[in-house]
Amino acid sequence: MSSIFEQAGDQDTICALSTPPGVGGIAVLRVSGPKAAALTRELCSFLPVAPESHRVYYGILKTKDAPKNPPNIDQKPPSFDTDSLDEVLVTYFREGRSFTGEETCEISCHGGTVLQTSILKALIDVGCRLAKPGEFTYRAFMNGRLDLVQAESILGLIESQSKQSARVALRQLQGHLSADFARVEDDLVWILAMLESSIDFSTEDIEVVSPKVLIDRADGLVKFVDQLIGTYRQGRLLRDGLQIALVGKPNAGKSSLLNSFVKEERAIVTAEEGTTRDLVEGRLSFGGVPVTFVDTAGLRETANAAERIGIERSKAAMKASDLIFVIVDLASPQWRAQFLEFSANDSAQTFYLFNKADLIDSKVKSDSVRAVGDAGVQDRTYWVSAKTRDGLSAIEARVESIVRVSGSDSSNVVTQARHLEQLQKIHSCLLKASALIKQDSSPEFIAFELQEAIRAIHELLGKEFHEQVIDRIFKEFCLGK
Amino acid sequence: MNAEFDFDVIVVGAGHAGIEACLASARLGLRTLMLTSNVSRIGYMSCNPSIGGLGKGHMVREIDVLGGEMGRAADETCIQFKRLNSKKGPAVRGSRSQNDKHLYAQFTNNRLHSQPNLSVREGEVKSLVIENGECRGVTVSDGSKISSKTVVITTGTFMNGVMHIGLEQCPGGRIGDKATVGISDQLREFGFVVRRLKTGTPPRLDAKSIDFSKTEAQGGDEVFYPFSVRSEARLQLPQVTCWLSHTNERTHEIIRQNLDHSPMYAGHIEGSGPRYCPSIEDKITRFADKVSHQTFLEPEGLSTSSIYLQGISTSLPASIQEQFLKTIPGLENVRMLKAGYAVEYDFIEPTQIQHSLETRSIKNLFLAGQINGTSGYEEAAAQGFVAGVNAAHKVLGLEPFVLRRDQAYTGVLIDDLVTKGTKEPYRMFTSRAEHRLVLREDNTIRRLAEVSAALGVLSDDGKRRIDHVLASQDQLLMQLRDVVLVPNAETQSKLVAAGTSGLMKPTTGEELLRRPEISIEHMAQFGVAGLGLELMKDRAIVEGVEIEVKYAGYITRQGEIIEQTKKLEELKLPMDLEYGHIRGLSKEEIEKLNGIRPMTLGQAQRISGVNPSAIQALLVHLKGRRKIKEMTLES
Repeated sequence: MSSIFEQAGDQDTICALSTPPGVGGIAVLRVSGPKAAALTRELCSFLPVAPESHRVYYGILKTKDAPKNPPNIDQKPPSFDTDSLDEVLVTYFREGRSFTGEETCEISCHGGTVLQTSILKALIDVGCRLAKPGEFTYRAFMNGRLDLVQAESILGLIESQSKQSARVALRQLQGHLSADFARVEDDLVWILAMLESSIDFSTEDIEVVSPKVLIDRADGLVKFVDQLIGTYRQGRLLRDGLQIALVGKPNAGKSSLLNSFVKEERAIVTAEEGTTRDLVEGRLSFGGVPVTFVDTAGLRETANAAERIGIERSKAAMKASDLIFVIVDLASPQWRAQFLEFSANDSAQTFYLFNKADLIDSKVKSDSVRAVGDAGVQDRTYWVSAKTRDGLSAIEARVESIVRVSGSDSSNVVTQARHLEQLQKIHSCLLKASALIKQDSSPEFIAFELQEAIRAIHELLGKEFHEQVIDRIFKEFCLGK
Repeated sequence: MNAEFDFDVIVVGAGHAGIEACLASARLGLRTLMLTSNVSRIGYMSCNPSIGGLGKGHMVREIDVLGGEMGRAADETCIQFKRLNSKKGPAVRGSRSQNDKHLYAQFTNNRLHSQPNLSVREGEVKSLVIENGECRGVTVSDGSKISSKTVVITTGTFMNGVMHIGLEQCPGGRIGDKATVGISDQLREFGFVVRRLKTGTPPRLDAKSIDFSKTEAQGGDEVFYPFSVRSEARLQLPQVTCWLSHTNERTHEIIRQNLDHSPMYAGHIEGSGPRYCPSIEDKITRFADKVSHQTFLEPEGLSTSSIYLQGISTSLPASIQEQFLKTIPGLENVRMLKAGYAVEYDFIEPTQIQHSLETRSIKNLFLAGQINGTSGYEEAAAQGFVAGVNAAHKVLGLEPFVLRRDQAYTGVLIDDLVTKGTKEPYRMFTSRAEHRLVLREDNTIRRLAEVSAALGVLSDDGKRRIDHVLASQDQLLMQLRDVVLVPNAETQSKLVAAGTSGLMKPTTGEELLRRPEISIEHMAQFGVAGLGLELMKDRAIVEGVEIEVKYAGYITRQGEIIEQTKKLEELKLPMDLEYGHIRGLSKEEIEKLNGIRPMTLGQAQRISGVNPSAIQALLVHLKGRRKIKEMTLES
């Protein structure tokens, strides 16, 4: 598969719908490229030959073959006829002052798929090409209107699955994360500059900077990078969502619990269909956090070959999940055995859901409280009922709080694996550099570690290139997520 | 050769750049003429009586391996040798020799006069002969023309030079010498951007008037590492002592009160001065909280009482200089032989030359040395050598000789000048070399032996030494790898005696040498036979191996980074590239790229003012171009 930039066509004028498809009050079509105004004018004859940037022009959009009216200078209400497609507003942006950096016209028309399609067809008729997914962003990136981090955040925005992650992507697009990375760069460059001038001046008796100042600055930066790295888990959860494995003995009520969650939560993002395997997936959103439930086959030792495969899959699903919900059937006489079997392999990611709590007497309830207390998992145990939905909202709140660190709405979150990789490299180089300074090592070795860290931050910010990085990014653009 | 021309190569100027340029060209067999306005000042050390230093010593060694002369002259006339930063790591050490100024000039004169193919003439060059955008020779002051296929200009600080002492000024490039007038104006007419720079020199003092007992004696090093592969590891001259003294608050007070008499501070000098070799006026202004600055008192030779006052370059009036000097311990009764002064001169913005040092707009014209905005003898010599070789290559129809940044400081120097230009006198520092860990003095031979062999400037005795060093080092390294020590009682006790811990498992000599407590001197007792007495005496050989082994981890990592950056260096930018047609480039970037015409994407990346987004755009464009090419080839 070839990516966008390997094809000719970068000089084409491209068009596409830039508001979400479907019915809405109005829709915006974007035309970008060297002939944006000229081609738009073919349909919108009211657009002057030399339009002003950022000005809105009003008129009737007509088909290509319609007789041309003079520009609508006095803004008289235009007349509608058989060649007319719609009454539109055209906003003109001159080259260098638009999102893409190219000459751009944004046509605001009325909503409706048929209308939008016919305007796009008319634009293609006069010589526009339909933009490929991500191509506007690609052009903005190529024209230096977006840095690499911002371009990636647009990808994030396009593929974001939840309100929360869209917010994070938006903050990145606004450059907040870039600003954090720029701070890392600034600090690294400062430390290196100080170190280098102390080498350059080493034969003069001038102390450029004391080792203590360098160590403090380096250690401070280590902390900052550490925090950024720490946001990745959260960022990944926001982007990809949380996967929760539902495990338990057959008939413990896994499927009914899953269904209850689905019913409880109106904002279903998707419900994956066609899960022919015995893994049943349900995708929901808990307070803006995407959550995928994986219902695993009942865990029980079996001689049946088909079932064994199912169990292997369950184990793999448990491993791949962020959280494990162990479902215990309180109505079953074996509830204690069921619970102990799983609590023996307890982990901080394991939660215990005592199901059918509505069906039991107080004796069983108090026995189960004691058993949970003995196992030391009381803060990760819930008594629920799939039927009455008791206890479900408490679990939802808990899951939400796991994903959302307090105040995360305003903090920057690292979401890209590529960023994490570079930040980890910076972290390890800085630790080495700081240790070398403390050992009073020769400065060129300290400088070497810092240079490596600077290369990493430059690569992250798109200031240093490896063809592979660019290839990877454009491949993602091209896939058109 | 072609009789139509008087010479193949004319070199204008006889400073450190001019000398290397002439010798390199003549050694390649070309008929070469050196033209200088004053033959009695050939190879003169106008400023400090020393060669080398951090980053600079590297370049002296580099051009020496390639067949240059500066290293030989420095070794032969050395009166004190020091390795700077000897306690620090191998990549930031630098050799520095103090030299007898008179003998240094004498040595280079002898070299020039005994060099076949080379003529030396006194004559003042008034203008260049330029026909159809090609340089064809020079016109001298009597109006006669000397024709040549190529011309190398190395006029240093002499182009429209103006000297300042206090607020007085007079034309000249150096005390006692006239300025060169005409060439830079002519180049300006041809559209070159010509700007001004400033440099300065400290006062010279009479040793007989100094009370050295109030200063601190500074001797040279025990071990002498000659710069040149053609020198013996033995000092030829008696060694001298230098002295260290310090300025104090009174000194600074006098200078501060008289700043309005300084041409720089009174606004009489328009050129930028060197940030890294600042005048004492600059030092007390920039480091205002520092109450004292050091100064080394350096004898300028064995048969002169002249003392060079390192660190106290100044252009204050002579009477003020004398006044503040007397506040420095030891100088209470000092007699000044020559006052310090500043020189302002024309330089050609070096982005107008190519990596071969040939100008972009006039063919067959090469520029080297301070005319390109550099400072320092070593920077000048390195460029002179490269310009001389390239002038010769041009005549011979050979490819330009260009050193890479990962190969030599000389490559860093020229690439920096050509791609970035300079706003102040450019001085070499180790921090300018991004691949510093592999560009060390100790591995100069290893780095450049092959290049030197292909170039063919170096004499046979030099080549023999190179072969010997490389063969001995290889042999020694092989032995270190072959010797395997087993943890027996004998080995363990030897190791403990050497200050390290015992072995846990069989270990090679190489692995053992990586331990910080173990030096190569220890290795003989562990059975590395090659370390006989004879070899141990050759520090240069042994040390090179020791460093390669001890720092192998870093050296390998640096090598990996070089491989990565090479990918950008290997992406050639076609000469017919129309930058104006590439999307994503700003007007300024298009202008810069068109002006400098980088050969590779790596070079383009280093041009100041060319942003990362532009490099990305170029990369994408190149890939597209490549794709189109492949497609048309296939069809």
